[in-house]
Amino acid sequence: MTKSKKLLPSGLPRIESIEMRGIVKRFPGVLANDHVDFSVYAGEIHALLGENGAGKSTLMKILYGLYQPEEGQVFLNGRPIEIKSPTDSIAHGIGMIHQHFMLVDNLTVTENVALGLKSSREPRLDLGRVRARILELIDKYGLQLDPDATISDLAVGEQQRVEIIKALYRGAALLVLDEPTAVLTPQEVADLFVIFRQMAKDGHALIFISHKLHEIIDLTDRVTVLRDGRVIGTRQTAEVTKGDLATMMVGRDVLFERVRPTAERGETRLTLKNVTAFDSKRGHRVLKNVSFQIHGGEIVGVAGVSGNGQRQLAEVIAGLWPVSEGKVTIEGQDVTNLPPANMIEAGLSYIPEERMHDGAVKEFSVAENLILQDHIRPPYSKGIFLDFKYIADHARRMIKDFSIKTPGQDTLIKNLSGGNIQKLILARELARRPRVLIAAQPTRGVDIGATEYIHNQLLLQRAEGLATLLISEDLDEVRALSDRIIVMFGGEVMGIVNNDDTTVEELGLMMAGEKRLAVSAAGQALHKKPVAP
Amino acid sequence: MNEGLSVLAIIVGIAHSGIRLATPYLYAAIGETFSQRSGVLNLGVEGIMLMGAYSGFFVVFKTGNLFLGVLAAALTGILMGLAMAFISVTLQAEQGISGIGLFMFGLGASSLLFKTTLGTVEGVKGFPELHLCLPSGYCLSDFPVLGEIFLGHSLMVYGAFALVPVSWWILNKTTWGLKIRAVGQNPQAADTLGVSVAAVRYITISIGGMLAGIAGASLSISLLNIFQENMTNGQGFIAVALVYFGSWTPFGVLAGAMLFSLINALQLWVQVLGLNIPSDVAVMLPYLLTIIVLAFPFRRALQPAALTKPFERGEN
Amino acid sequence: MKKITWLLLVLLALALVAAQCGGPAATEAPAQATEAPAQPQEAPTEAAPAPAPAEESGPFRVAIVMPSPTTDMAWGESIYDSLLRLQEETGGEANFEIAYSEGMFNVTDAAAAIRDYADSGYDLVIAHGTQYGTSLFEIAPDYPDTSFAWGTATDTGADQGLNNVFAYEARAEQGGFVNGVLAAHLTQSGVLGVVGPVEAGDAKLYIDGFVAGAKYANADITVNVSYTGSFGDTALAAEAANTHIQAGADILTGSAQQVVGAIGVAKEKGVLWMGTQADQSPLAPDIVAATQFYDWVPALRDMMEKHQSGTMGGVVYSLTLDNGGLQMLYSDNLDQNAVAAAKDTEAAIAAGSIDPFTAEAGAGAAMADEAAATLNYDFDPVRVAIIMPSSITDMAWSQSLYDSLKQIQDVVGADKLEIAYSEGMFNVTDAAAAIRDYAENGYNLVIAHGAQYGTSLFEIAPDYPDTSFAWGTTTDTGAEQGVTNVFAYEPRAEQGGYVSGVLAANLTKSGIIGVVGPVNAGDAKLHIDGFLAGVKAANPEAQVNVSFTGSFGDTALAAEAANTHIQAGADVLTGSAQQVVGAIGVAKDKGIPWMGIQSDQSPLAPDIVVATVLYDWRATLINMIKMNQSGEKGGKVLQLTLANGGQTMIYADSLPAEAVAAAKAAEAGIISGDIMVEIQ
Repeated sequence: MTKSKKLLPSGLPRIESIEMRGIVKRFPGVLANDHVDFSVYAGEIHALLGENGAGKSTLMKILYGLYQPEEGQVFLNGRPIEIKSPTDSIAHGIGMIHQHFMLVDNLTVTENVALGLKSSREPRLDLGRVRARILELIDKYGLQLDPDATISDLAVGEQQRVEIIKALYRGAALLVLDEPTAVLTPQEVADLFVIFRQMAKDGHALIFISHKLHEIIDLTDRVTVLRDGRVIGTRQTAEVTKGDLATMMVGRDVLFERVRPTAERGETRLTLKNVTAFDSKRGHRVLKNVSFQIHGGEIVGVAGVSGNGQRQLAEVIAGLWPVSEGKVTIEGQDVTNLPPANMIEAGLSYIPEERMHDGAVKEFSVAENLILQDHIRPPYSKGIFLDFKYIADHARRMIKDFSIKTPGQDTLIKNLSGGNIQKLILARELARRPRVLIAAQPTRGVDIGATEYIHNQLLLQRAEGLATLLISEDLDEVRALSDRIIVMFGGEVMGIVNNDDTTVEELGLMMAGEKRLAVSAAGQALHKKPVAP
Repeated sequence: MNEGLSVLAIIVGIAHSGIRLATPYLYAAIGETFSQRSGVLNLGVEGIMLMGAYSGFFVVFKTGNLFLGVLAAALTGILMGLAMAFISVTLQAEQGISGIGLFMFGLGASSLLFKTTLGTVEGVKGFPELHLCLPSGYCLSDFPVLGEIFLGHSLMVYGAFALVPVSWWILNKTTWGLKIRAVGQNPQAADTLGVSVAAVRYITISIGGMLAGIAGASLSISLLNIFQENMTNGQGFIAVALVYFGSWTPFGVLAGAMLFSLINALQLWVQVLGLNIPSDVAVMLPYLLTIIVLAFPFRRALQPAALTKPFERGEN
Repeated sequence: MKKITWLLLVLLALALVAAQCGGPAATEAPAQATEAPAQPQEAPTEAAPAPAPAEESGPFRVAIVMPSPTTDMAWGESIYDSLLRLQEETGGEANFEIAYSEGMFNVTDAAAAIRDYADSGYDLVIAHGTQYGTSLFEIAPDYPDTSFAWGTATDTGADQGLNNVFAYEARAEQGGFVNGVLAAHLTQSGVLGVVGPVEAGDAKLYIDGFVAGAKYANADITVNVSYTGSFGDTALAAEAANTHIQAGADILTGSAQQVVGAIGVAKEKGVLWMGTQADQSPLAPDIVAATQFYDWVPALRDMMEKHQSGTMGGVVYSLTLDNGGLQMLYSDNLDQNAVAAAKDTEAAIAAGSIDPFTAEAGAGAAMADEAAATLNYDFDPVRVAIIMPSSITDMAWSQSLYDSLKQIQDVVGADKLEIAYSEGMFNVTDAAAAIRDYAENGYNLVIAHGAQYGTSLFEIAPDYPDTSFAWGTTTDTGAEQGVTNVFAYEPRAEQGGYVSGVLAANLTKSGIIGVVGPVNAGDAKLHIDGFLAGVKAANPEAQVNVSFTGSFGDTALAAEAANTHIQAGADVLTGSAQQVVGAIGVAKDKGIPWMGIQSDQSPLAPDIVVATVLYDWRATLINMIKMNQSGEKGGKVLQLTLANGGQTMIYADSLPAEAVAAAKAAEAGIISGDIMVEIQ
């Protein structure tokens, strides 16, 4: 305890240190945090790394007062503190930027900041005063923001800044940043990192949660890796490589580079021509005039910030979302607005974004999930009866071929991990020998090992001539696998580029809607040399 | 055809009736607005109104004290509101079903209580109409047009209308209002800022219950001064519809309630004047209008995003 | 989640239970006495009258077991005195031997005594208390040559195979009613006090009758009733009497042996006493104003004669004013007008034109119900169920039917007419389920009291050919569809409507009359059409504004409609369906006369409801019951008209004489057929 307390730009005292010691948290059947030690100091950006389910979020929710630990203690500047609710953590100067923004989208920036605070003239709101203080913070931290804007009118990056303002306004000296880059364009990420670095320099303590290794290497001072609820280690970031971190995270060596051998580009398999679709509930267009083609032996990636029409694009092709204008053809056959069964008949396979919701039945066994669509056809059924013996053999084969980790083919899939469920869905969809595959977010929430496996499978299928549309919000994934990349913004195609001829910056500008490339009616990229068929 | 009545007199008559008819809808729908703005759809309004109508009436019948009657109705409403809150907030039960349960309870319980305590339809002396008469004998409520329309109602009627700006002020200009709006739109966000979602919802549902109880009492001890089984006759459900109609704002609800009531008053006059319109069509008018307004799809965008969704911490 | 679902289910169940209790369904089973046959009836078990075995040697030997003393000045004394008189009549102890056991409040002791008497060869053993029934039915079969009698009861054990038990009861409500009328005429303070024992049996009948009589003579009278909870607690009864006097009562009555305490207090304080059971005047000759005296002699004599002619039992005796079993004794020093009123009432009850249980409060001697007088309640036990769209307290459509059925039950007793009803059945699907349930459960007559139920009814009826169904309001019995067991009924509402219209036309000064209708169909349409015709006939200049609310139950809208009519200049209003309570409230506030229909709505606003077309369903209901029992299960259309008493007009006293005269002329015209009411 020093007498001359250093102050933050917001005029509030710093948090010199936060230490979490021996934290234990159990959920039914899971030990989410197993004696975790974790600390962060003023001026430091400390990364918290781990796969989904490693216990990062749980640990941070404990710090923020959303969960109570069964064992362990939190120390603030060396003194033990109790954090029973967010009110307590806010009072201690801890702020949290959640992965899903905690903003009320029909309120203004000022109202969002004022929410939950005592007004200077209770019970009346004093928005004028709040607004003035926000402007002050905007000025001090160099955050560009209009305090009177309604949240729903703001871009994602701006919303992120509102979250930061909210935390700073409440006197946050420590900021927990839960995957803050997940929904940002590369440019927005770069801007954000500038802010974070400045904040650290000013004496804030930052905890940065991410699974994007290059961001961690880029931004942070120290990194702590969690696996299965336990701390694997804490390192100075400068002393580790991406490979080291991946190995700590997964527990074995991981290959990052994807080998994408040149493949023979085949005939046109899937064509969208001027496809427009509406959201009848909200009454606006979700797809505008989308046109492109995919050929056999090709992976076409769809890049874009979440919510720019990617999901609807996948559903339109799968027959789950009505097309109001335009045409969808699979191998020359017009399948516009046909029901999903006809799409499957036409040779389409679909790995949906919400795998537990749309892709599999939790309460069914592995074997049953493997024949969800095809159970009425031979060889799975004879007449009206299922051929259980064949089904079991088929399941065993698939489990082996796709290295699905399961106790057996009769295990209910709700007991499998996300990666294994995704492998199962992939196995099912590929077993049908499809002509076109739509893979929507195939590795989201999937561990690195399974991601590696799924990526390799997709590349293998490409080599065998499958036409794949890969929709992903992870630009790295799109870059690693795609031959061509379609960038979407606001339901429109901003451009279609050859992967090898583009840069992250160019993609980022298109994802932000700031750059548009001319696209021919056939959906080929025009700005660079067209690829010869 | 009536020759003796001027068009002006008829307009005055419609406006005066409309204001009176709107009273129970206003209380109930404003109360429901609070509840829905915080994310809870309470379909039990009808049942609470019946219990409020009964308890208010019974207390006035026994004591003759009108304010005790209103108090009893309000307390009954709060109790039923708390029951709804317990089921829908604490137990996180499906709101539609719990609301219907509450309605059925109110319908049955008010009938049962009526049968056991009163047994037959009786009358009481309810809130008097205020005519504001000068010593000279001239009553302000006779002042042409304005006086005739706006004066000469009872205190309960004015209370309902006073509630509109007060509720608007609470929802938009107070810290409490901000909490209510936030909880209805994004309870997770409110929770992370230290706002107790459960407390906010308990309070709004109780306010909703209280006002629904008073809505019932406005029928039984102000407008009609009787109690009859199932006397609300679906008004509670119309009040819920008016909240949608009014886009979850007090003034919107006021507009809806007045439109609905004025058209109701108008259709009465249409019939009384013997205009050549089948009575069935006249009777249909207010409902037709409601359906038309509700059918506009853009309204859904205005709906509190967390409406009907139970809140559980840690779920995104 | 499971726990929550479970809790929710419990809550829903609770709500349903509450709804069940309050609303839809309830079965009525009040304990009321059976219809008193004017002549003792032969029990059906006794097919052939046995030839007289009587080689009657020695005296007729009677034994009686009773709960109180023979000198209790009440229940016990009344029958003991009768026995003594019969003994005298038959020539004294030599021919008629009496033994008695008094104070047998312990049922086991009483049973022992009964068996002893039977064993000792008594010819007739009387168990003078309801509580002895079970024992009696066990003992009687062992002594087939002995006759037993059980009071107060109407059960001779015939259905248990007994044929040697007589049953007897006093229709105490009749004299109670007369006492009530007399008390109402005599009271100065307007407050009467009643000291009852327990709320059951003979005492309850008497007190209910008394209260009804007092109200009948004067609707505003206050009758304070207190029950002591005991038959013999004289001290408590005295205290009760004191309390009543302090509360302002200037006339008291009561029953059971305990009342001697109360009579003492009355004497001391100089307030009048109305007695029952035995003649209590010896106790206090000056203050016992009147007594309902039980004369058991005819009943006992008949039992003796039946026994001697070989009929050992199976007959039910009821003491009534009509058969002389009940006699009214009046003190000499009473106001003669009051006595005259009481005697008129006595005669009306004896003639059947007043029924103590249904007499209208305040109706006084004015309303002679001729329809009731001619009703013939002679039918077998029957179970009737009603499904109705609104509540039995709706002051309109549903209440009118329910009240009529209840009145019939009050006369014949709950064991002869079982009533079940489902109210608030606005949902037709629920109603159909209820109709089927009742039919399934063996109800003889299932009444679907709403035009909307027709389709379902015609689907259900063929499945239950032994059940009669009734559908109102309609004239369609489904005969065209081959349905044979549905009665159709409808009030010819245009008739009463017409009379109301004539009256309204005579009352209006502004020349504008307002009608608050529910929907333009069915009963409401008939009423309004008739009303319009009546107004037009009486005053072609008068204008009638009709508005429909579009609902039967929207009380608030009906109130507003009434307001609108008044603003449009109407100075007389009418309307129908349960919603009108709202309109009546407005009429009351504004002082506008109201013409009611269906049920009597005057309790809501006595000054405002100037005339009512009262639906009296009794004749129609009895008709349907009888047809059902005679094998005619349906196919008939029954109508309520002015001529057949199905509709009766009630006029307020405040009406101008010439207006009433015009209305009555219209009534007469319709009844005679001179006026045909046209329907649009």
